[in-house]
Amino acid sequence: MESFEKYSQEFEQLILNKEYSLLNKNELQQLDAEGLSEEEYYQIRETLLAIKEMDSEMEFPSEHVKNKLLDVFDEGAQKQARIIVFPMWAKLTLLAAACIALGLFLFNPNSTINNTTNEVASNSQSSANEDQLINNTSSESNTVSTDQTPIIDNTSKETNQVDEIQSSDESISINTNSDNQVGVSEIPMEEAPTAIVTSNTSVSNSQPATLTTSSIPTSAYKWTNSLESEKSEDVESNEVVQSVSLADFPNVISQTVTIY
Amino acid sequence: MSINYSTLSDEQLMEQIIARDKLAFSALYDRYSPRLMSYFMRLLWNNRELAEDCLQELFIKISRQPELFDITRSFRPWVFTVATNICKMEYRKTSRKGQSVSLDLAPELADNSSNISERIDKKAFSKKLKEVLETIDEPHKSTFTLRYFEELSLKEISLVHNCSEGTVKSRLFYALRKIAGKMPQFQSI
Repeated sequence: MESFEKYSQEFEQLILNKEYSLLNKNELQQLDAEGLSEEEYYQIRETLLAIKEMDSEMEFPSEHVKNKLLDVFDEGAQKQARIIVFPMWAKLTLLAAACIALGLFLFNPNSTINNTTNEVASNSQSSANEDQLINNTSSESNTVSTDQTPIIDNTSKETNQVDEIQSSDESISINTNSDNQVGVSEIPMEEAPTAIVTSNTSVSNSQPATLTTSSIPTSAYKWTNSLESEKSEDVESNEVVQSVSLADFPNVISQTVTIY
Repeated sequence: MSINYSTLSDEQLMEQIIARDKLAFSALYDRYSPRLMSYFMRLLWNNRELAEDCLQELFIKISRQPELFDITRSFRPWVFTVATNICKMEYRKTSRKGQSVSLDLAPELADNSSNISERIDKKAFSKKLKEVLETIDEPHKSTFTLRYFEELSLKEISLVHNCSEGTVKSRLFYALRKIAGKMPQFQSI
């Protein structure tokens, strides 16, 4: 059948115009190649002629089909009328405008978005701000010191209280306000020169010790080996430290009050 | 300026339809609906209701998306391509339902073909031809219908089926031979 593809249309003309008996040798060979007998040849010929003669019967659809389709067409036309169709040049113009606006926003030299960096040191304005902040902090510290004046006065009173206790009794009784009674509350006189070890204090006799008290509630009494009172690292700027030389405790000769 | 739609070619009508010309759509429908309806009827088991549905579906496609048609090409092969595709969809639906697409009615037809009066009755021939066409598979039936009922050229049919002209010739020969073999009683017409 594949070979028949080459002369199918010609075959149609052939079969319609020629009787089998009138076929030449070449045409007969072609029919034999397809396995088409004389009987089949005439069968096809008659059928083909009948088809050609047959009146073309047309089927007509119902009228409502057309009406419905015209309604659908109208709806489609209305929908299309509602849709604004931009021509290509308009789309390109809009796109270009959007790109320009975005570029101006991102790369504008006057925009403050470029002035912000993470390098604080390299920014002179930032350094100036830092200096200003430092100055403000210093002034605030001074202000706090001034405001702590009543506390200083209170400490002085406490010192006086210590003096009174030490003079009236042989034991050291540091009776400051209740918040300060953390750690050592009473030290016998005979034990004072010896090493006193508490949970938060340590004293050795090798060097004259200094008893340091703090008015800060969280601070404990601190024994140090230096004659001069020192400020502890955890002592805040506004704390008031009272230093008492242990060597002088028996006689209560000298008392040093250091105010930070 | 009024347009005489009857003088416009199919392609020109489609141009007007793309421009949402309702009258052009109406003219195209009038021109093609009988042929397409017949085509659907032949391919879809002479089911009129189904053929009308398919015809409606086809023209809805044209009305909604006329721009799918390339106006530089011929309209007739294109519209029959769409129609054939719709028929294929129907065949698939029928196959899913479990019905056989090509019913082999040959023995039954042979038994009923003894009536001599039918031999000379063209109407009877036409009826029988439709029945025999039902026994042929879809590509051959479609090719035969397009060639002998819709009178499309071989080239147009090849465009419809997206195949070579050689394949069209082969299918035509196969269909013709099979139909002739099943209608021996009409040989004398």
